[in-house]
Amino acid sequence: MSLRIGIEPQSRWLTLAAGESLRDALFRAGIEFPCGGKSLCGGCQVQLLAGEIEPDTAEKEYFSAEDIASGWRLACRLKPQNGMRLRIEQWQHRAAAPILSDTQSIEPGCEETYRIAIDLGTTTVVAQLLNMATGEVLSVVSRLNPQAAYGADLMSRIDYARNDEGFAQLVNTVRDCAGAMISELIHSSGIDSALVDRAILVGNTAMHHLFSGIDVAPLASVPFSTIHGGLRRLESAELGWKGVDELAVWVLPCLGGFVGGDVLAGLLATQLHRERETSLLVDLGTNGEIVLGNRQQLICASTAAGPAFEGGGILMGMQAAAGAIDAVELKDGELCCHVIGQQSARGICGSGLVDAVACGLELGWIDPSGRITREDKRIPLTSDVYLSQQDIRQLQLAKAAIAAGIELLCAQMAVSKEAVINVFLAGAFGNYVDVSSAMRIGLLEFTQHQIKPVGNTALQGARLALGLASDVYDEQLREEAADDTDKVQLPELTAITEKVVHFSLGESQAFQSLFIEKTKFPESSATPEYQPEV
Amino acid sequence: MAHDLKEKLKEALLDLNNDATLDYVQQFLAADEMTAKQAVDSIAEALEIVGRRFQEGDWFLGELVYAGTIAKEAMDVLTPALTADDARANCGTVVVGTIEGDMHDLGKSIFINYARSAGFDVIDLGVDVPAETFLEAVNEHEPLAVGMCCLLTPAAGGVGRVVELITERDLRARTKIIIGGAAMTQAFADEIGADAYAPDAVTGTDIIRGWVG
Repeated sequence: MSLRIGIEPQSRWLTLAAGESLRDALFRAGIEFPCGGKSLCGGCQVQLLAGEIEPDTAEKEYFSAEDIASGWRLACRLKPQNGMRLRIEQWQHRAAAPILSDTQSIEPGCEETYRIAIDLGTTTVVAQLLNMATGEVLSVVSRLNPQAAYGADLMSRIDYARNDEGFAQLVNTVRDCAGAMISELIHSSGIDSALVDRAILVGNTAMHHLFSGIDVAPLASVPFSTIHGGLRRLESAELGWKGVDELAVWVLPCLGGFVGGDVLAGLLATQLHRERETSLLVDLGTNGEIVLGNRQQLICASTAAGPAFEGGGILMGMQAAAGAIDAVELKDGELCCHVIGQQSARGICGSGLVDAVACGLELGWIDPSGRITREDKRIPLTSDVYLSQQDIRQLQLAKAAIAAGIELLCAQMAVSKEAVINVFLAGAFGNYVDVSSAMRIGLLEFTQHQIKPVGNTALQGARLALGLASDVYDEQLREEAADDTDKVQLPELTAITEKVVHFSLGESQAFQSLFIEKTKFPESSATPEYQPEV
Repeated sequence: MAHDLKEKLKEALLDLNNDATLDYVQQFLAADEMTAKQAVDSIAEALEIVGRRFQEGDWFLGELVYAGTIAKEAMDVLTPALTADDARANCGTVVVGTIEGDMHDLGKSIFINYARSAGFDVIDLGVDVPAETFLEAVNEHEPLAVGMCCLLTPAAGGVGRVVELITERDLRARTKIIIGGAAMTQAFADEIGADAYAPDAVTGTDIIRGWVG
């Protein structure tokens, strides 16, 4: 007999195949198991709304008695029960993350068509349906990238794709996901699928390659460069998508190395490439991407920050979900923690970590070398949650990678940091992190008035590109380029991609010494007080 | 006086004071009753303390790298002044490189500084080193150990390949294999049959020191 399980907040039933484990079924439904279901990370928390299941030892260790009593469990530990209802923690948070899918309209066009913008992220995939005549966003769907089953981070997925079978799995998984999301968009909005003529997809270089079915082996080793990062056009038929006929799918070109079409979209969204003055675009993530430039010159780089900004590799680190400390501030010399959801703190997420370390520096609990000066070698945050010395070190490495990358690009372009007009912060973390804390720890060595959080610029740029793509493509060009679709071009985008220079930080000796230098924290946040000479 | 100068040199290095360290090194060389070997011992003692502070989390990369750099500069001055006996008394040869497909240099450089200061003769093969080059170097230098650095999961296969090559040539009794870098783990070392995994440069140097027989 098959089992049925209710999942919230989607309010739907999930039917388990005979003998299927709960973990497999939930994974199929898009729930992430960041540590691979080894009960190490607590990333798969669920709240039991109906059904009674005794917690096992791992769960008792992870949750407080209070949490256990209110039904918190780890999905990777649960045995399925017919009729049980689970509230999926990951989705609670995602639903509250409008940053990933803001729905600002674009310029109205005249055509009565519908188009789709897709941000194909390593972790999350967001798709939007637009009415091109009005420029309005009609509908939005988001899912976790199902490739996560084959590795949480990009490098492990690239490694997985090294054999033909693994490669095919990753390609099919991501194509099927995008196809299903497009169908969902079309059906939920009730429009005629024949009126949808185009989709624009943006992602980093690995996503660009995997979606397009291009070998990712060149991204697995030095010099991490690919010659196949150009604009791609695929037909829905060749992608095996059902229910969407004659849909042209464009995959925006990459800028170089790991810097992909998502960053190109970021340029479209921020207009960095059109301004006379120099600005900076930074996407803070496991892989930090940086573009510096103006209408004359653009230089980009990617820098490996590691997972600390997402709470990874931190003793009590967790995703920005219920129970996570997401903000810390000093009030009258005391630490005040804000916890997501109506519950006690169970861990700390990236934005909370940056705040906590900024406060620790202010209190003198952490010295500029990163050493905890307290006797107990801890930064206590709540009765249950603290930071260890090792956690501070992880953050130092992450922030040094970003700060050194920015500094080196500025040096390459011979621009002082003071001369940078705007520092655009893209992506989820960049929008949740407190700017003054990011400045205090030296992650962003700029002033408050330079720094501007700009949301999900990948999606914003993909929307803008929907308008761009019209009329430029023609069949003849496609035929000429049949053997090598890299030859297909969009003039507006080509103007940018030809201008951008990719700088490989890994090969730079200067980067290494800068990186070491930037692991230190700034001495003090306070601008020197004005002391009139006597 | 001798004791004084040894302590002063050690303290200068632990204060990460480059100028003072080199200054005391010169004083060692100028003083009749002192030998270069004593200065080298002093530096080794200081580096052990540096290593301990790093392992305990009190010190971080910045201090580790800087101490290593100062020690290297001091050793560059001292080495020509060592007597033939002292110089010959080095602990052994270690061949080091970052595996093919990977360009990471930082951790390897820190390790090299520490191993050299600890008295090893280190041969640096550089970065992006093919498995065959490791094998050639092992044949040529007959080292006590070969150290491989790898920070990229997709490049890890090459590390296993080096272990295979060295094992096939029956060189394992003579040369131990140690691996390190972000893509390496103890489990991986066990899987490919490497002799040791080192989570950091200081531990790595300690492990190799334990192999000096």
